[in-house]
Amino acid sequence: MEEPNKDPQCPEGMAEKTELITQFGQTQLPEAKSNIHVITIVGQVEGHLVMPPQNKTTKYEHIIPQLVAVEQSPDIEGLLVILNTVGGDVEAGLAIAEMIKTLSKPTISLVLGGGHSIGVPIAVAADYSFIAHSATMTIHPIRLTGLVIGVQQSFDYLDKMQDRVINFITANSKIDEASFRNLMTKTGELARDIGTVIVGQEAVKLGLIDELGGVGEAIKKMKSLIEENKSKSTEVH
Amino acid sequence: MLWTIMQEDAILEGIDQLSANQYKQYQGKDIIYRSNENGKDVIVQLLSTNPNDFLDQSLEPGKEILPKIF
Repeated sequence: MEEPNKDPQCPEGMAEKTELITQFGQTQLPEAKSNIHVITIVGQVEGHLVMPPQNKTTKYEHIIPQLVAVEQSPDIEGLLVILNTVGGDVEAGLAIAEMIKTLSKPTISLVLGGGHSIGVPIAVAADYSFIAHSATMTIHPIRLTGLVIGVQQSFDYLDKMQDRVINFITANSKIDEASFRNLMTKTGELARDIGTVIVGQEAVKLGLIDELGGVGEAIKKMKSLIEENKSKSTEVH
Repeated sequence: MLWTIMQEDAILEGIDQLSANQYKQYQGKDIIYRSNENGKDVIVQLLSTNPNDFLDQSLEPGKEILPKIF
Protein backbone atom coordinates (compact mmCIF):
# COMPACT_ATOMS: atom_id res chain seq x y z
CA MET A 1 0.00 0.00 0.00
CA GLU A 2 1.30 3.50 -0.80
CA GLU A 3 2.42 5.68 2.04
CA PRO A 4 0.03 8.54 2.68
CA ASN A 5 1.32 11.86 1.33
CA LYS A 6 3.55 13.40 3.93
CA ASP A 7 2.48 17.01 3.54
CA PRO A 8 4.63 19.05 5.93
CA GLN A 9 1.68 21.39 6.53
CA CYS A 10 -0.66 18.49 7.36
CA PRO A 11 -1.09 18.10 11.15
CA GLU A 12 0.16 14.95 12.83
CA GLY A 13 -2.31 12.07 12.41
CA MET A 14 -4.34 13.83 9.68
CA ALA A 15 -2.64 11.86 6.89
CA GLU A 16 -3.72 8.57 8.45
CA LYS A 17 -7.26 9.85 9.03
CA THR A 18 -7.53 10.96 5.39
CA GLU A 19 -6.30 7.56 4.27
CA LEU A 20 -9.00 5.91 6.40
CA ILE A 21 -11.68 8.07 4.78
CA THR A 22 -10.54 7.56 1.19
CA GLN A 23 -9.96 3.81 1.54
CA PHE A 24 -12.87 2.78 3.71
CA GLY A 25 -15.27 5.71 3.84
CA GLN A 26 -15.03 5.72 7.63
CA THR A 27 -13.85 8.36 10.03
CA GLN A 28 -12.54 8.00 13.50
CA LEU A 29 -15.07 9.21 16.00
CA PRO A 30 -14.09 12.12 18.25
CA GLU A 31 -12.76 10.90 21.56
CA ALA A 32 -14.64 13.20 23.95
CA LYS A 33 -15.55 11.15 26.98
CA SER A 34 -19.06 11.40 28.33
CA ASN A 35 -20.40 10.38 31.72
CA ILE A 36 -23.63 9.28 29.99
CA HIS A 37 -23.54 6.12 27.96
CA VAL A 38 -26.02 5.58 25.11
CA ILE A 39 -27.39 2.27 23.91
CA THR A 40 -29.66 2.12 20.87
CA ILE A 41 -32.29 -0.58 20.48
CA VAL A 42 -32.87 -0.66 16.73
CA GLY A 43 -34.61 -2.83 14.17
CA GLN A 44 -35.31 -6.38 15.30
CA VAL A 45 -34.26 -7.53 18.74
CA GLU A 46 -32.38 -10.64 17.66
CA GLY A 47 -32.90 -13.81 19.63
CA HIS A 48 -31.30 -17.20 19.40
CA LEU A 49 -31.39 -17.24 15.61
CA VAL A 50 -29.10 -15.00 13.51
CA MET A 51 -31.23 -12.91 11.21
CA PRO A 52 -30.59 -12.42 7.49
CA PRO A 53 -28.64 -9.28 6.61
CA GLN A 54 -31.55 -7.14 5.38
CA ASN A 55 -32.63 -6.83 9.01
CA LYS A 56 -31.18 -4.18 11.25
CA THR A 57 -30.72 -5.96 14.55
CA THR A 58 -30.03 -5.43 18.21
CA LYS A 59 -27.84 -8.23 19.48
CA TYR A 60 -28.34 -9.17 23.12
CA GLU A 61 -24.96 -10.95 23.29
CA HIS A 62 -23.33 -7.55 22.80
CA ILE A 63 -25.77 -5.38 24.74
CA ILE A 64 -25.73 -7.48 27.92
CA PRO A 65 -21.94 -7.35 28.53
CA GLN A 66 -22.05 -3.64 27.59
CA LEU A 67 -24.59 -3.14 30.36
CA VAL A 68 -22.28 -4.98 32.77
CA ALA A 69 -19.50 -2.59 31.73
CA VAL A 70 -21.81 0.40 32.27
CA GLU A 71 -22.63 -0.88 35.77
CA GLN A 72 -18.96 -1.40 36.62
CA SER A 73 -17.36 1.65 35.02
CA PRO A 74 -16.64 4.49 37.44
CA ASP A 75 -16.68 6.98 34.51
CA ILE A 76 -20.25 6.21 33.44
CA GLU A 77 -22.87 7.82 35.66
CA GLY A 78 -26.04 7.21 33.67
CA LEU A 79 -27.47 5.24 30.75
CA LEU A 80 -29.68 6.57 27.97
CA VAL A 81 -31.54 3.90 26.01
CA ILE A 82 -32.84 5.10 22.67
CA LEU A 83 -35.44 2.95 20.96
CA ASN A 84 -36.53 2.71 17.37
CA THR A 85 -37.49 -0.94 17.11
CA VAL A 86 -40.11 -3.13 15.46
CA GLY A 87 -39.87 -5.65 18.28
CA GLY A 88 -38.36 -9.11 18.03
CA ASP A 89 -37.50 -12.05 20.22
CA VAL A 90 -39.44 -12.07 23.50
CA GLU A 91 -36.74 -13.67 25.67
CA ALA A 92 -33.91 -11.53 24.34
CA GLY A 93 -36.04 -8.41 24.80
CA LEU A 94 -36.97 -9.32 28.35
CA ALA A 95 -33.32 -10.15 29.13
CA ILE A 96 -32.28 -6.66 28.01
CA ALA A 97 -35.23 -5.11 29.87
CA GLU A 98 -34.34 -6.88 33.13
CA MET A 99 -30.70 -5.79 32.80
CA ILE A 100 -31.78 -2.15 32.32
CA LYS A 101 -34.20 -2.37 35.23
CA THR A 102 -31.61 -3.74 37.64
CA LEU A 103 -28.79 -1.28 36.85
CA SER A 104 -27.94 0.67 39.97
CA LYS A 105 -27.14 3.81 37.94
CA PRO A 106 -29.88 6.14 36.62
CA THR A 107 -31.45 4.95 33.36
CA ILE A 108 -33.62 6.89 30.95
CA SER A 109 -35.36 5.53 27.88
CA LEU A 110 -36.40 7.55 24.87
CA VAL A 111 -38.79 6.12 22.29
CA LEU A 112 -38.30 7.68 18.87
CA GLY A 113 -40.00 6.47 15.69
CA GLY A 114 -41.29 3.15 17.02
CA GLY A 115 -41.18 1.18 20.23
CA HIS A 116 -43.34 -1.72 19.14
CA SER A 117 -44.08 -5.07 20.74
CA ILE A 118 -41.08 -6.14 22.82
CA GLY A 119 -39.89 -2.50 22.66
CA VAL A 120 -42.56 -1.73 25.28
CA PRO A 121 -40.96 -3.71 28.15
CA ILE A 122 -37.54 -2.32 27.24
CA ALA A 123 -38.88 1.25 27.28
CA VAL A 124 -40.63 0.93 30.65
CA ALA A 125 -37.67 -0.85 32.28
CA ALA A 126 -35.76 2.43 32.64
CA ASP A 127 -36.09 4.62 35.76
CA TYR A 128 -37.77 7.28 33.67
CA SER A 129 -39.17 7.02 30.15
CA PHE A 130 -39.78 9.56 27.40
CA ILE A 131 -41.63 9.29 24.12
CA ALA A 132 -41.39 11.68 21.19
CA HIS A 133 -44.59 13.35 19.93
CA SER A 134 -44.64 11.31 16.71
CA ALA A 135 -43.35 8.02 18.10
CA THR A 136 -45.69 5.01 18.10
CA MET A 137 -45.99 1.88 20.16
CA THR A 138 -48.00 -1.13 18.97
CA ILE A 139 -49.59 -3.09 21.79
CA HIS A 140 -50.67 -6.46 20.43
CA PRO A 141 -50.77 -10.10 21.59
CA ILE A 142 -47.56 -12.10 21.43
CA ARG A 143 -47.37 -14.59 18.58
CA LEU A 144 -45.71 -17.95 18.04
CA THR A 145 -43.78 -18.63 14.84
CA GLY A 146 -43.17 -22.16 13.68
CA LEU A 147 -44.87 -25.48 14.42
CA VAL A 148 -47.92 -25.15 16.64
CA ILE A 149 -49.51 -28.31 18.06
CA GLY A 150 -53.28 -28.02 18.38
CA VAL A 151 -53.70 -28.89 22.06
CA GLN A 152 -54.82 -26.88 25.08
CA GLN A 153 -51.25 -26.89 26.36
CA SER A 154 -50.12 -24.73 23.42
CA PHE A 155 -52.62 -22.06 24.39
CA ASP A 156 -51.73 -22.36 28.09
CA TYR A 157 -48.08 -21.86 27.13
CA LEU A 158 -48.90 -18.79 25.06
CA ASP A 159 -50.97 -17.44 27.92
CA LYS A 160 -48.09 -17.95 30.35
CA MET A 161 -45.67 -16.13 28.03
CA GLN A 162 -48.17 -13.33 27.59
CA ASP A 163 -48.63 -13.03 31.38
CA ARG A 164 -44.88 -12.85 31.79
CA VAL A 165 -44.68 -9.84 29.51
CA ILE A 166 -47.81 -8.13 30.88
CA ASN A 167 -46.58 -8.54 34.47
CA PHE A 168 -43.27 -6.92 33.59
CA ILE A 169 -44.91 -3.97 31.86
CA THR A 170 -47.51 -3.32 34.57
CA ALA A 171 -44.90 -3.67 37.35
CA ASN A 172 -42.69 -1.05 35.68
CA SER A 173 -45.24 1.52 34.56
CA LYS A 174 -48.39 3.20 35.80
CA ILE A 175 -50.79 1.26 33.58
CA ASP A 176 -52.96 -1.40 35.22
CA GLU A 177 -53.30 -4.94 33.93
CA ALA A 178 -56.93 -4.67 32.81
CA SER A 179 -56.27 -1.55 30.72
CA PHE A 180 -53.19 -3.11 29.13
CA ARG A 181 -55.06 -6.31 28.24
CA ASN A 182 -57.82 -4.18 26.67
CA LEU A 183 -55.27 -2.41 24.49
CA MET A 184 -53.75 -5.73 23.53
CA THR A 185 -57.01 -7.36 22.45
CA LYS A 186 -58.75 -4.41 20.80
CA THR A 187 -60.16 -5.19 17.37
CA GLY A 188 -60.77 -2.81 14.48
CA GLU A 189 -57.67 -0.66 14.85
CA LEU A 190 -54.93 -2.69 13.17
CA ALA A 191 -55.56 -3.80 9.58
CA ARG A 192 -54.19 -7.37 9.85
CA ASP A 193 -53.84 -7.83 13.57
CA ILE A 194 -55.47 -7.40 16.95
CA GLY A 195 -54.26 -4.59 19.19
CA THR A 196 -53.74 -0.87 19.42
CA VAL A 197 -51.29 1.66 18.05
CA ILE A 198 -50.62 4.45 20.48
CA VAL A 199 -48.94 7.67 19.44
CA GLY A 200 -46.81 9.93 21.62
CA GLN A 201 -49.10 11.71 24.09
CA GLU A 202 -51.48 8.73 24.34
CA ALA A 203 -48.71 6.61 25.83
CA VAL A 204 -48.24 9.19 28.57
CA LYS A 205 -52.00 9.53 29.18
CA LEU A 206 -52.32 5.74 29.56
CA GLY A 207 -49.51 5.66 32.12
CA LEU A 208 -47.22 3.54 29.95
CA ILE A 209 -44.57 6.23 29.47
CA ASP A 210 -43.65 8.92 31.99
CA GLU A 211 -43.30 12.01 29.84
CA LEU A 212 -43.54 13.41 26.33
CA GLY A 213 -40.17 14.68 25.17
CA GLY A 214 -37.04 14.30 23.11
CA VAL A 215 -33.32 14.17 23.55
CA GLY A 216 -33.05 17.56 25.26
CA GLU A 217 -35.56 16.64 27.93
CA ALA A 218 -33.99 13.19 28.35
CA ILE A 219 -30.50 14.61 28.95
CA LYS A 220 -31.86 17.24 31.37
CA LYS A 221 -33.69 14.54 33.36
CA MET A 222 -30.60 12.34 33.26
CA LYS A 223 -28.48 15.10 34.79
CA SER A 224 -30.97 15.58 37.61
CA LEU A 225 -31.17 11.83 38.29
CA ILE A 226 -27.37 11.66 38.37
CA GLU A 227 -27.25 14.52 40.90
CA GLU A 228 -29.94 12.82 43.03
CA ASN A 229 -28.00 9.57 42.91
CA LYS A 230 -24.79 11.33 43.97
CA SER A 231 -26.44 13.08 46.91
CA LYS A 232 -28.08 9.82 48.01
CA SER A 233 -24.70 8.06 48.10
CA THR A 234 -23.06 10.91 50.08
CA GLU A 235 -25.92 10.77 52.62
CA VAL A 236 -25.31 7.08 53.25
CA HIS A 237 -21.64 7.68 53.99
CA MET B 1 -40.86 -16.42 19.74
CA LEU B 2 -40.86 -13.25 17.63
CA TRP B 3 -43.09 -10.49 18.98
CA THR B 4 -42.93 -7.93 16.24
CA ILE B 5 -45.12 -6.00 13.84
CA MET B 6 -43.07 -7.15 10.85
CA GLN B 7 -44.17 -10.07 8.69
CA GLU B 8 -42.27 -13.30 9.29
CA ASP B 9 -41.39 -13.80 5.63
CA ALA B 10 -39.86 -10.31 5.41
CA ILE B 11 -37.70 -11.00 8.46
CA LEU B 12 -36.53 -14.47 7.51
CA GLU B 13 -36.02 -13.97 3.77
CA GLY B 14 -32.52 -15.05 2.76
CA ILE B 15 -31.78 -16.93 5.98
CA ASP B 16 -30.47 -19.92 4.00
CA GLN B 17 -27.96 -17.73 2.20
CA LEU B 18 -26.02 -16.51 5.23
CA SER B 19 -22.30 -17.14 4.79
CA ALA B 20 -20.46 -19.28 7.31
CA ASN B 21 -19.03 -17.70 10.45
CA GLN B 22 -15.28 -17.73 10.89
CA TYR B 23 -13.14 -17.07 13.89
CA LYS B 24 -9.97 -15.03 14.35
CA GLN B 25 -8.10 -12.59 16.55
CA TYR B 26 -8.58 -8.91 15.83
CA GLN B 27 -7.01 -6.09 17.82
CA GLY B 28 -5.94 -8.73 20.33
CA LYS B 29 -9.50 -9.96 20.96
CA ASP B 30 -11.29 -13.10 19.80
CA ILE B 31 -14.04 -12.43 17.31
CA ILE B 32 -16.44 -14.29 15.08
CA TYR B 33 -16.75 -12.72 11.64
CA ARG B 34 -18.28 -13.39 8.25
CA SER B 35 -18.22 -11.97 4.74
CA ASN B 36 -21.13 -9.69 4.06
CA GLU B 37 -22.99 -9.30 0.76
CA ASN B 38 -20.35 -6.76 -0.46
CA GLY B 39 -17.49 -9.17 0.16
CA LYS B 40 -16.22 -7.26 3.19
CA ASP B 41 -15.39 -9.01 6.45
CA VAL B 42 -17.62 -7.82 9.26
CA ILE B 43 -17.68 -8.66 12.95
CA VAL B 44 -20.56 -10.91 14.00
CA GLN B 45 -19.72 -11.34 17.66
CA LEU B 46 -17.05 -10.34 20.13
CA LEU B 47 -15.93 -13.17 22.40
CA SER B 48 -14.59 -11.69 25.59
CA THR B 49 -15.09 -12.01 29.32
CA ASN B 50 -14.01 -8.40 29.89
CA PRO B 51 -17.13 -6.17 29.85
CA ASN B 52 -15.02 -3.12 28.94
CA ASP B 53 -14.19 -4.66 25.56
CA PHE B 54 -17.88 -4.32 24.68
CA LEU B 55 -17.62 -0.53 25.01
CA ASP B 56 -15.03 -0.39 22.22
CA GLN B 57 -16.83 0.86 19.10
CA SER B 58 -14.43 -0.80 16.66
CA LEU B 59 -15.41 -4.21 18.04
CA GLU B 60 -19.16 -3.87 17.63
CA PRO B 61 -21.15 -6.42 15.56
CA GLY B 62 -21.47 -5.18 11.99
CA LYS B 63 -18.21 -3.20 12.05
CA GLU B 64 -15.88 -3.86 9.16
CA ILE B 65 -12.57 -5.53 9.96
CA LEU B 66 -9.89 -3.04 8.95
CA PRO B 67 -6.39 -4.17 7.95
CA LYS B 68 -3.64 -2.54 9.97
CA ILE B 69 -2.41 0.45 7.93
CA PHE B 70 -0.78 2.47 10.69
